Amino acid sequence: MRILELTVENIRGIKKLNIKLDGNNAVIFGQNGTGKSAVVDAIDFLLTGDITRLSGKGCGYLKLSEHGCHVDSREHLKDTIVRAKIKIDDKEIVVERSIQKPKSYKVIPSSEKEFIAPYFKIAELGQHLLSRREILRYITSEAGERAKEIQSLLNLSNIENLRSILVSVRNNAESQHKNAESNLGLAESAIKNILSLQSFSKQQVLDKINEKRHILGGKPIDDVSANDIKKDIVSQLFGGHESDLTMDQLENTAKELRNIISGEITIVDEGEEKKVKHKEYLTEKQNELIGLMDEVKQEAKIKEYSLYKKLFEIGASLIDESNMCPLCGREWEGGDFKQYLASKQEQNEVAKEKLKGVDELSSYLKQHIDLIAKDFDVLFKACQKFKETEYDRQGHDKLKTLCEKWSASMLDPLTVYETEKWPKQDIRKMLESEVLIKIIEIVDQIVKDMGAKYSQQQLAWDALTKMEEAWGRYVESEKDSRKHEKSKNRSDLLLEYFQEARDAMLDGIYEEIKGNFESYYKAIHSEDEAGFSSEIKHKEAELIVEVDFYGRGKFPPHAVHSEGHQDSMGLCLFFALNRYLASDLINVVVLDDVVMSIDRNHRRSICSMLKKYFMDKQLIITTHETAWAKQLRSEGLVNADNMYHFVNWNIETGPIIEMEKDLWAKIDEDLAKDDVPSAAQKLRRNAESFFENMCDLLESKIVYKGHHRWDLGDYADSAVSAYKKYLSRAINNAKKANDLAKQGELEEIEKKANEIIQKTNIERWAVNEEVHYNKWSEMAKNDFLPVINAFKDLFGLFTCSCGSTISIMEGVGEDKRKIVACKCGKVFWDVQ
Amino acid sequence: MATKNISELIFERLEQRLNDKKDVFDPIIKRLMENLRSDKPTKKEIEGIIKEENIENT
Repeated sequence: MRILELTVENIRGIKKLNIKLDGNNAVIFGQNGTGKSAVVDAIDFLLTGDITRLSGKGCGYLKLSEHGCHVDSREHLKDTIVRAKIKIDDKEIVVERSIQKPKSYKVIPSSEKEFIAPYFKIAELGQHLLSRREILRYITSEAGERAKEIQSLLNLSNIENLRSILVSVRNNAESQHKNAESNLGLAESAIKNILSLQSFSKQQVLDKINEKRHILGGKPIDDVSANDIKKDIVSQLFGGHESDLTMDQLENTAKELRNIISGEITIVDEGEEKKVKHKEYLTEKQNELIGLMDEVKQEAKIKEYSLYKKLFEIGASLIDESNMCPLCGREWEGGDFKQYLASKQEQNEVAKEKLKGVDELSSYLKQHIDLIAKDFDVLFKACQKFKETEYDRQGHDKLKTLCEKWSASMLDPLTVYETEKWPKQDIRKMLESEVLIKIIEIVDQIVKDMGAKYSQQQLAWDALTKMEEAWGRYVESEKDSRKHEKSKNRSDLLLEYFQEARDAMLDGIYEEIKGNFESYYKAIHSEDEAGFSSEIKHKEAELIVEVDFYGRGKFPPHAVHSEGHQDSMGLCLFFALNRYLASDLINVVVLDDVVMSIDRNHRRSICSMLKKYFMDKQLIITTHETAWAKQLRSEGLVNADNMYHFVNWNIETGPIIEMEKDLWAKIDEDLAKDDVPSAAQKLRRNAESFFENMCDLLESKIVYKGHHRWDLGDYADSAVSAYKKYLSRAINNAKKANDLAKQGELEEIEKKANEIIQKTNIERWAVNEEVHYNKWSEMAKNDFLPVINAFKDLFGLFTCSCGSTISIMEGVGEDKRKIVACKCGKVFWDVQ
Repeated sequence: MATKNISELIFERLEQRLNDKKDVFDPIIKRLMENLRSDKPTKKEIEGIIKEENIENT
């Protein structure tokens, strides 16, 4: 899509403006405040329905409806219009947008609306406009912010949102699974306590149930189910006891708790079984967990192990016998590079193990803490029923809260650790609590009292009654655990596969963007940074951009490079993104005063880069520097017809444009009105600008002036002198090469040039700044016409018939001889 | 003329991976992918699908 013609009415500083671009590049130049940016805003508005300058940080109070229109049109929004005749393929279509309805646009003919829609969808991404402010968006922003900006450009915000949701789903599933596992452990423990079992298996449970059934005269059952536990056993009155707790259950629960706080367990240490205090072992596990979490917190790499794993794997696969680093292209001096990466891979495995260790230890501790809490609850119930007066209720509540805090912390220890949510008292303190020791003593006494009171049948009946409920809970917990395990596996894999898919896609995209970014930047800085390289990579929700600094390492783009280099980088990154996003759909690219900090030489390189890579685009460039505008023309990026000089602005008329292409026509107009002073002023100003540019293009010397003010005489003398010098050299070289045809051609040019130069030397007094006031008022039109013609001829000496000016450059070929040439090659002087 | 839709390319790749792991993801792949591709997938909906809860319950 290219813009053929642009009409702007009542937008920003423009009252009415029409410019014909014919789909070509254009430069709009002029001093600050002449309305250039209003044209940029108009194009921005046409393509997106918004004006970037009015949005973003610090612009919250600005509104399109109030500040996007001309200040006098706020009450007449229907008159605020941007209209463009655009060309897509071979179709010419008119598109129009008004601030009155900014989100919709009119298409003429309307039948093309569907055809044009995809183009405007891409245009709405806003990747067609780059201003100095936008450059900062790419270069100096934080990695997280940059990622948001670029992901928004890539239309990936939804992907990042989805990733956050999937992380949350995975974390939830993991917590639920941990809880379900713990509940299953508690259900098993409750059964073990009711039936006095040392360990848990379905067969052991069945045997114990049949044992109790035998005591009550029942036949054995084949399988455990809550409905069959008391099948065919007739209820007998065993003294009317209806406790929620059986004696065995109480006894075993107290035993289990006592075992945790003062008993021993058998562990396998270095292949040998040994007994250790259970309390010490839990404390040791708690310390081990904290130690591991400290390591993970200190070493961010551990959390990112999957990312590093990928980096090391790819790195190792790219190294060959040369031992060269595939990233920086230099030889690795630290020994065998492959071996080094292999050791890094091993370290990475250690990191993975550490995270696994955190998970395992927290699960282990959670199960035990939940068990302590559950046992504590059972004993508390007994106390309430039988010995309420002897029990420390306040101490119980505190201990229960501590248990709950530990249990919750173990669900996601890495997040909770070192926060307010992490328990202040450690596990040892919990296990040494007086409340815990006291409650076991009370329950021991309760059990003793019960034993004297109840018969074997009563105890068997109570146990089976309790088992009906406990087995039901166990079956539910087991089912729940299986369900949550399945969900956890699914959510784990879903997140893993999603991230894999995203990374694979983004790696490819960023690789393409990086490749283009480097090519563009190297094209601009081939002299000082030919070995430039960069890294554009994403890390979770961040996008890291780092650039090489003269082989000294990689740094953020705004860390060590000069402001001019940063501007180049911003420009290149913008173009790299534009190349990816806009593809071939949107060819319009607007560059709003983006080379402010870039010196003249590098601007020339920017022109070369644009010509090399972006001739398929329609570049609309604004600048307040006339020299840059002229340079764009002399470098062949913009033709004279598309140079729009905004010379003034006022609120009534908007920008006042002087177009170079009209120079001679305007002078003719002045002369038609006998306004010689005006014609002479135009000629002098344009000639001064023209020869200033020629001095630059021919690398001619100018006498230094401390006040830094050079006039037409200085520029024209210097440019003409250089012209003559090069022409003379070219004739000599043609002679030496025995190229008689070339020699003849050049001598003819020299003869004609001398005549023209001679003529302008005579006539130049007429436009001399020092004398014009005295003489111009006395001049008649016919006196001034020869001056005009002489300068037309003089301009013509420096201009090829193709329209571009000549310049000195390095020729092609092995010896790279210096040449003076034009862009089309019709002028070609060997001036070595 | 197709515009580049990176999200869709990511979803296609993901769907392929889920299909490779049918033993884990059957029978929820279709419903899950529809939800992920929708305008505003929510945590609650995705959890419901993963747990194979009824649509009415999610």
